[in-house]
Amino acid sequence: MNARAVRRRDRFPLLGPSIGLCAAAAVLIATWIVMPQTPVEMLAVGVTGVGMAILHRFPVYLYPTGELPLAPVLFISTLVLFGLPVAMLGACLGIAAGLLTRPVRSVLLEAGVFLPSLAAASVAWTMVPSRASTPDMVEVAVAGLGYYVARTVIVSAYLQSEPGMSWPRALRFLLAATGPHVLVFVIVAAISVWIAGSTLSVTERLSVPVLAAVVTLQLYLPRILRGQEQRRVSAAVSVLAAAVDLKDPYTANHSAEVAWLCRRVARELGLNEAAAHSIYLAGLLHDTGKIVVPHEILSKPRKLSSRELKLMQEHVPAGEQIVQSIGGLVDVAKVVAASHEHMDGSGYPAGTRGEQIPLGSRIIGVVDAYHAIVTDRPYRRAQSPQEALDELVAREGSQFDPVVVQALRAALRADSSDTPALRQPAWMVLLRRPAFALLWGGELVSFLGDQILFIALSLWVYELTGSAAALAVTLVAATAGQGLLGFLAGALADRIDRRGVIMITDVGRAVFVAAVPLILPRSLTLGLALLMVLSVGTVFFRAAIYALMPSVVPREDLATANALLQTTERLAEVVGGVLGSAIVLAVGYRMAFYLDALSFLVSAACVSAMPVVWKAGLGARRDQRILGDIADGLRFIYRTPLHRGLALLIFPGYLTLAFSALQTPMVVKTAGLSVLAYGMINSAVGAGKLASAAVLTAAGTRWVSMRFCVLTFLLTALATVGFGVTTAYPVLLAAAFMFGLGNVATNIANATISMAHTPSALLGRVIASRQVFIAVTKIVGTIVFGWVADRAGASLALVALGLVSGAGVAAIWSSLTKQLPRTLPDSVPDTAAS
Amino acid sequence: MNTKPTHQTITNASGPDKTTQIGGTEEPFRSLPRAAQAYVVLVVSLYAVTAARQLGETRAAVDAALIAIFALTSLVRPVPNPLGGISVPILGVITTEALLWRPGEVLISVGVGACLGLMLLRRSELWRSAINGAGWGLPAAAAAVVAQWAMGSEPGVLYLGAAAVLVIVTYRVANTAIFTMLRSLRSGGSFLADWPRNIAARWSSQLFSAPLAVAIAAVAGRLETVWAALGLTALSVAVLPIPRQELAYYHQSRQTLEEIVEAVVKALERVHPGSRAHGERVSHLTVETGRRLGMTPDALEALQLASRLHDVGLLARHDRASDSNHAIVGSQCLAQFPNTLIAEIVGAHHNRWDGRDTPDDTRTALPLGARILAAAELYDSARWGLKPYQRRWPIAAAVTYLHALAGNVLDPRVVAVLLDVAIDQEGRAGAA
Repeated sequence: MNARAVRRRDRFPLLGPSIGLCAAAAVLIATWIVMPQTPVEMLAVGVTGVGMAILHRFPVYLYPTGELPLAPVLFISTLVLFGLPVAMLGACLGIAAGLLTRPVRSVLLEAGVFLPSLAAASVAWTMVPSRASTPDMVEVAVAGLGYYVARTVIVSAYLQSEPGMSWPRALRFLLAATGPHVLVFVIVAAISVWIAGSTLSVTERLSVPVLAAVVTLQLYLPRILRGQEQRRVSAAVSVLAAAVDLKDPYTANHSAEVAWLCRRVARELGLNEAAAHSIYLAGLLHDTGKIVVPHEILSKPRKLSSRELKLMQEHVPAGEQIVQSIGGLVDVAKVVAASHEHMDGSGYPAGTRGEQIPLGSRIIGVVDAYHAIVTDRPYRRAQSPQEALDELVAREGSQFDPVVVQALRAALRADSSDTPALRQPAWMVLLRRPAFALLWGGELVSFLGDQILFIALSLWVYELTGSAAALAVTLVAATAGQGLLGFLAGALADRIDRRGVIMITDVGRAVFVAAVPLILPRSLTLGLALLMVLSVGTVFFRAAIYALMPSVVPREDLATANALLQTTERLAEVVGGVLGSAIVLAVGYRMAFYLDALSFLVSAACVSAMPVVWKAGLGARRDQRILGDIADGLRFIYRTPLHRGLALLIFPGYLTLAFSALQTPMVVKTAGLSVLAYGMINSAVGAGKLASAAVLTAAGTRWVSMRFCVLTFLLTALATVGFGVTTAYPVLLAAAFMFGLGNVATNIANATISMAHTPSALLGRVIASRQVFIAVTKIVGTIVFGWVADRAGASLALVALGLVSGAGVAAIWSSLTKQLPRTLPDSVPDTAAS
Repeated sequence: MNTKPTHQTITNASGPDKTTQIGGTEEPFRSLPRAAQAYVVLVVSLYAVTAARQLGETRAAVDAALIAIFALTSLVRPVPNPLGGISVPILGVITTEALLWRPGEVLISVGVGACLGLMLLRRSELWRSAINGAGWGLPAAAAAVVAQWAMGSEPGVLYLGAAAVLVIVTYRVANTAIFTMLRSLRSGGSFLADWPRNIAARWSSQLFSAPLAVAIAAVAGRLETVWAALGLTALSVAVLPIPRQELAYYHQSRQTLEEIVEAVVKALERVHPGSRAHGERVSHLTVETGRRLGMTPDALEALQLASRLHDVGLLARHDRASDSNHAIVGSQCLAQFPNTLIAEIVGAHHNRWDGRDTPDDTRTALPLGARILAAAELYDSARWGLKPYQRRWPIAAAVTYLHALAGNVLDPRVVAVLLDVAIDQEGRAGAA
């Protein structure tokens, strides 16, 4: 089982490297946008790169495991003296130089840790306002802190995949182990930057980061050498253990496996990493004394005579002697010496009892016995782990320490329930499926592209026309297509290969977006028409993406997949906004649109690489007219109780979408709050949406059901009522948050249930119809309750809206429970399509 | 691998047997040869005269403070250098002083400070402390003169860096000259041959004491007060214990590695008596052969470990006959070492050079280490026998035997060099 434990560390063979690759690409793109201009900066990039490459060959060794590169010293001082692009390009260069001497995988793995940490340092640094023209030591400290925190979090995520290494434990270990070193780095970098403060000459400024690097290297050289030596010592201990195991063919790999399990138990008992490592070493060496025992006795299949037994017992003091003769392992020798003592004092050689036996020895005693029982021995066959544990429990108190046996049981249980699906978050498992990862990647890039387009467009139109009205018209144009062509999009997504639909819309959108900068300045009207077409493309894209999902994701993971897409979209809304503004500021409108077009092409590439062939519906009913297709879809919804129920629920349930229209008069007019407060309330809705999506993503949503769907509808209605009855700012905030929470949860539950219970050939139509129903509900709700608000005030309108929606949902649900079967059918056969 | 700068000291010059102690009392002044006594008196009085002439031009308060600071460096215990000699990492302090202070102040503080420190804090004999003080102080002052010339009036970091390098070179040249001369007067040996070798010894780690000194000098340059400079000099002394401690750990780790290997060898000796002596002889042969064939220090270290542990696979219960099998088992056992070369060498040390024992599709080029080890192993088994009671061949027979194997089982190029080495070693053993 420990062999499995060893292998488990390589559970994500590609995750680390791919993160590294993405990080490098992101950094390079970001830096390319603000390319270093002057020759001096270029030179600085070169110097930093070479320095980084050299420093990377000398990492500081952390006891008992891990390494810390010295390179942040160079990075931080370059960052403060020359700015972000130079430092980042230099860092990429330094990492890339590693490709000359090391395998690609390990370089990418390192980049995956190093570049995000450096990026965090840079972000922290940019947040410090520069007080004067001279670089500030505070900047260095803040950048160092950013690096420290980010690196700790990232590395602890890796460490945490090791058995028995919980996240808090990994964090604690890393914070304590790397803190002092990062402090030294920061001090050296701060002093160097301070030295450079007054000098303006180029060579001086160039030489200061180098000075910081070599000073750190000087300070750390002995420690680095010591680390290399320590690593050889640990290896040598393993060699000694392996050599001992060679003597006894029955115990091949015995020492290594016992050592692994000992460390696991030590962690379970809450010992710190250094202590756990020491017990690990003792576990490796606990049988060293067997070197003196003759082969014949070791492999004798019968009971040993008393003389032979005495010879056999000799191995404990012999082992102690051998381990003691090794200078660095004196503490370990004591643990080895007592590893055959029993709790009641009946063990050998000294007959120590109870707490006087070192904890390490007690652990080894238990684990050694366990391992002996579960492996084949000359005198008996291997037994099951459960039998072994029972036997240990029988001898608790007399031979074994009950606490340790308990810890062993807990460790074994944790490891056996440790199947990847349970241990990893479900969304991570999903993302490891190449098909879904590509779908997700395509959706992410495309959605980001949408956001960038949105921002760039509004800014540009406003700049071109200077009129808010034109801006509003533009934005309406950019979203108008959504509701209009839903049915058609759904039918097409069912007719043509959905992958094809996605790719065509992506490429089409890319072409149109690339055309925007040519057309918009010449004719605003033509530009708006173009935007309408674009938004139609988006409708098709989304219908196809959601329809494609059930052929990529297993049914039980649909909820998680939907939640993940929602989370991604909510995050992309935030990131896309910032990124869009940044791109426009950095490279101007034209370039922003070209980049945006590129993002759609990337999305198309992702989708085209998906290993999915979708056949259902293709060619079967080519002759039917498209209207017939649409009618088929609607008929299916009407005839299936489940879908009819869902569709009926949509009408009262999604009425609350009118919330967004009523929100403004409520906040500004009725409650009399400021524009800032209005912004905050909007953010609260966004935060609620994000929180809900994130929670559902992380929770692995097995409990998404019709009931859940109804509950979220009711929650949304309640939040709407709550928003209407009060004018107190905190309550408004809370209600807004709750609204966002309920709204996205409803979306996820709704989409998941329809996807799971619709035959593949109809999916596009069913999903698109749902979108159309929702859009219609939203429009109707907004008009009706907008009218109410105008007459009777926003407060009353909101309360009425919430009550109507809640009552409607409750009524429909109570009538539905009679029609629907108690449990949902497991799947719908594809024959239901016709 | 190099570590910290080694400082040439009297004990370093007094022969390899006393290198671990500084200021030992086992050698009174009287027992030195006449010429050496005269030389010591000459150098010390040269120092005294120079120092006395400088005394008027220095600041007394600075002198006193610097003497106290430098004397404190004697508190840092020296550690044995992995490559022989002892490491007293004070070259950094001397470089800092040379960059910060006037030559006269450096001369007085280093010389008097070292002498006092060794006498009071290390209980060294008077003559030993005096010659050490003079032998450090004069070169340090010369280095300070060079530094002043190199830095000019308004030094930037680059100039400071260049000056620090010059300081180290100057100091090393003068310091090694003084102590190499003393050594040649005491125990014979050619001054002209030893001096360049001592200057060049571990030059890279010598230069590595420059960066911190440069940084300190640059900070002092910005602070511009005497007291700040004094404090910074004291700082350069205060950081000394850290590298010293790390160096001590480094040695402990090396020692531990050695002891673990020893434990494995002992275990093997218990099962197969004679294997320990066999391993040691083989490792002497292979390391020297590898050196002559131009292997890198790292590869030599791997080869040495592999030679000592090459029979570890025999611990498994197999008969001696299955030779290649024990090589594979051994290499699996040694695969734990981060240096994978060790396992590779051991795994292939019974493979034929011409590859006839392996099918064509699995044949790979044998590492040089494995070819050397194969030849050494066969030579040693022929010459001395694998077990104490086995027949031993005369050297001529062993040489003939290996010549016969060269070109098919063994690499002829390796055999030629190896036999040279073997004959040399036998000759030396015979002479002793």
